[in-house]
Amino acid sequence: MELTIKNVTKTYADKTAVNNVSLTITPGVFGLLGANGAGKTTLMRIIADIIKPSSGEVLYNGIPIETLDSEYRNIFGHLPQEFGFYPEFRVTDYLEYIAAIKGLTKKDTKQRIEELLVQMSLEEVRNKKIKKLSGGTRRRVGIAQALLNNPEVLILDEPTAGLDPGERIKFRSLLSEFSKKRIVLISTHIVSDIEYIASRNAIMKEGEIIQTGTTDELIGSIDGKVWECVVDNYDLPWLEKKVQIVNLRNEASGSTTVRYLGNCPVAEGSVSVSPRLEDLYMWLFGSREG
Amino acid sequence: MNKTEMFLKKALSEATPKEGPRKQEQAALKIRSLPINDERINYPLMIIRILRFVSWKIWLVQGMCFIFLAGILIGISNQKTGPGGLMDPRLICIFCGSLPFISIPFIYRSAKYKMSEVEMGTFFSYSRQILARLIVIAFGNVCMIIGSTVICLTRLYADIMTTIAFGMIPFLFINTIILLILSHVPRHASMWLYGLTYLVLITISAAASDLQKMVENYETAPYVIVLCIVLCLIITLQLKGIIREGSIVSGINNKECY
Repeated sequence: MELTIKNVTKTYADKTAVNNVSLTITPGVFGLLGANGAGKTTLMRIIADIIKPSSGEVLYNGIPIETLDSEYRNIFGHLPQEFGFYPEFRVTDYLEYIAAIKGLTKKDTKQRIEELLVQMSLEEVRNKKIKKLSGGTRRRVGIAQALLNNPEVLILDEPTAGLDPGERIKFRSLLSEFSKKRIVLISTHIVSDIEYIASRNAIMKEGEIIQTGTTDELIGSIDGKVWECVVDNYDLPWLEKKVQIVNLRNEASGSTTVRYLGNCPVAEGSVSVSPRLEDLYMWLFGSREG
Repeated sequence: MNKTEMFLKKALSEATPKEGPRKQEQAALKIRSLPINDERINYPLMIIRILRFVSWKIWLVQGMCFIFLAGILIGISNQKTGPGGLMDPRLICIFCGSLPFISIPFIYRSAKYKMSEVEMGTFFSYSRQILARLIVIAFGNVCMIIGSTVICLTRLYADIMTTIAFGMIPFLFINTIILLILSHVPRHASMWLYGLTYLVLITISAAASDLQKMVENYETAPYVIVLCIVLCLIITLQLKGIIREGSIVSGINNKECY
């Protein structure tokens, strides 16, 4: 099972949203990380066959997805960034409607909906109208619809937007389990969504893939560039001007522990610390790049 | 994993980029020749399954609007000629031509409520889903045109040729225009065109009285019938095009035709 994105470019009238992207995605969780406007959603839409690329192609097991057509749509699930619903729909109505257009039989529909309502903790709201649900619960309904056909390829665009920390952890465990024999592609700008569950990542910036690799490989590129020090609160503005700060933690003594990025230490008492994916993200997308 | 998924998996694994386009094409053909999935329902069954989600609202609105418009038509006719009414071809033309406009908002519902992106990523293509909605709308439209014909014949005492010429033809003509706009114009630009089409309908309706004499002359009857048949054929071809070419403008950013 392999999803190949081959030299894909998508150009709009005034900008290039995706520029010559090539990726090979195999079973497991694949994280697509990038700031807002990096071109992630456009790339996800191309992979989901919702928009056509200006050039290049997407292949599933070596066959263009256009050729596969409904066979391809049959094996994938998609949660778009902007997840809509008809205002009159209750949770079960929505899932039944999606199951029908996914071609599921009545028996499968009933069984899958019951399973997913339990899995996504939606049992209590099953008869509630979606418009009356919170953002997080709506998102869970969205994830449930993407999983309805038990897809081989799962495409999730910003899946955890609106989920609370507990729901995020539960969602990550679910995906971790789900992705063992399947391709799960997650696009996000929330680093923690993919840091521990993604087998491979790609980082996207201004329409291009600038780095790919496992989480360890990626964060290895900024080894020795992440520092931590304790500074007096009066010195903080000075430090903020000098370096890219990743994290701040107030200490009781009127000082602050600062985690920052830099090629060399700039504050007294700085110690090198192990980088995390979040540090890499800030290194690449922070206001003072590199 | 069910039987078809096993077939699909096996067929897909046979084709790799190294094996060349011919082999790929063969694999694709093999997949296409398979029964798509014995665990998947067919298109008519899908329509039946989604009926309870999409139909009642459309038919309710169509029914209410029909009663309202029919009330106006009968009311004005009665006002002009006394109880029992007499037909005015201009009114029949506007009345029947207006009926297809009632359902336009329902065609664009999925784009309005941002459902189209989810709907596009499903086994049944987006065009087929729109077509399912059009079938539901068409059912309502057929009921309305039958109702209109009954009103014209029994309440307004119009003859059959006048009913066809000033009721059926504007109705079919407006339907072809709506399908044409739906297939070729993005949603944001289409509302203006629908407005323009309605203005054209009113203009044509204004000339209906002058045309009535021509229609009353039964020598023109074959032409009227032929025009009706041609319009029906155009509508059928347009619907076929929607399935074959997927020519529905989705409303998704820069998605030209789907």
